[in-house]
Amino acid sequence: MLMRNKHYNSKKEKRFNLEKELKHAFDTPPPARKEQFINRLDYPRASRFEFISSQIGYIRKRVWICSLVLFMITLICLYSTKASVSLIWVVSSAFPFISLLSISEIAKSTTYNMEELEMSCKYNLLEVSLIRLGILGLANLALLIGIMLLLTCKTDFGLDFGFIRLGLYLLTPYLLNCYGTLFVINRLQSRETMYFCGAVTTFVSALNILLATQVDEIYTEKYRICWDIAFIILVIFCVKELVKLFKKMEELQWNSSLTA
Amino acid sequence: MSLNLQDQYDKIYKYCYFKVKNKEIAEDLTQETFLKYFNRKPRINRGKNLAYLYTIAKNLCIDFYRERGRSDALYVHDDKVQLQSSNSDEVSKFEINYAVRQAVSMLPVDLQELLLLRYANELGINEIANIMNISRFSVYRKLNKALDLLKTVLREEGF
Repeated sequence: MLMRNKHYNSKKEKRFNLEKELKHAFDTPPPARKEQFINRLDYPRASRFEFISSQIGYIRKRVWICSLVLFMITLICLYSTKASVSLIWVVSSAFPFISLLSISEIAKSTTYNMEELEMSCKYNLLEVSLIRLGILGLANLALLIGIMLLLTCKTDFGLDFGFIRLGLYLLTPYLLNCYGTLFVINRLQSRETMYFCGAVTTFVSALNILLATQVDEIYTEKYRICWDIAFIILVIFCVKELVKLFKKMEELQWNSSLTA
Repeated sequence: MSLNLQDQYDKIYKYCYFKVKNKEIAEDLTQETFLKYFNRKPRINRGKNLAYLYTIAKNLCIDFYRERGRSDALYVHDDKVQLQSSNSDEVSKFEINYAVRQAVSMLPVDLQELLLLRYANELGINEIANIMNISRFSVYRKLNKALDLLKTVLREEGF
């Protein structure tokens, strides 16, 4: 048995060596006009639009599916139950999970330890992340506007709160979650980052439910100023964290170029 | 893309050189292949497009011989590759390389082409099947046959 294995291994080794030799059996004299030809070759490069649309394909399907599910649930709730203010906190508590999905797309490179490799690609991580964030942001905005339109058209919220105020109620927990998850991503660099982000999202969602159910009249004019201030502060904080994230990516790119 | 193009240029050049055995002509044909390809296809992608690139190269080589009436000389070996050897290790490498080259040249042309595509140009079985217009099963079968023949020849040579 041992002899047979030994024979098999040496046979395999021989074939491997032969295959290695075959790689060089077709060696050619080096081409003389290669660089000149490639430099002058006017081949059609991918346009900006093609690049952006190609990025949509790399966003995981679960992001789109979850967004659609949230939209459908809102639709079903509106048509099957009597719409009440509670619908706002239900929807606004679900929104942080949509933002978590979007953030997980950006943290994908860190999670799978692909940052260094992606930094050395033609379109670097910063560029790709910006484009994907843009696409996801637009998709989230479309979802938000769709839900807000549904709520204003099918309920009295539009009359009671107005479109902008409704947006404020839905967006504030979303922004709080964006800030929280970006804070985690900027400070933690490990495969466990997404678990912490998940914890932040659950906390934000639970906090939103708690506030909405425990604090009376939270969606009234009485607390309007608090919502406005929270919204503005969160926008500023989110922008700061985003700038930090992009700067970190630039630093990584600089480090990669130095060590390349 | 530029890296890919550089890589593909070398591989197509190797393929054309294998067909025409002349450095200048092989490079002309390589460049013509890329010009024709980019006239019809937007970008080099993987999969069938790579097979398309090779098909253009193959047809250009056939056209070259058809035009010049040299089809009979298509596979005459004209090894001009300079292999320099400085020490004993290099000498032994040179000997092995020379023996393998000689053994490969004894194989039928289609098997030589198959070995070039598979081992020198590192193409996948699917891509080779597309280029050679044969089934995946045939590619496997021919590859095994080529390797067995090579081993027999090399064994006779004492390797």
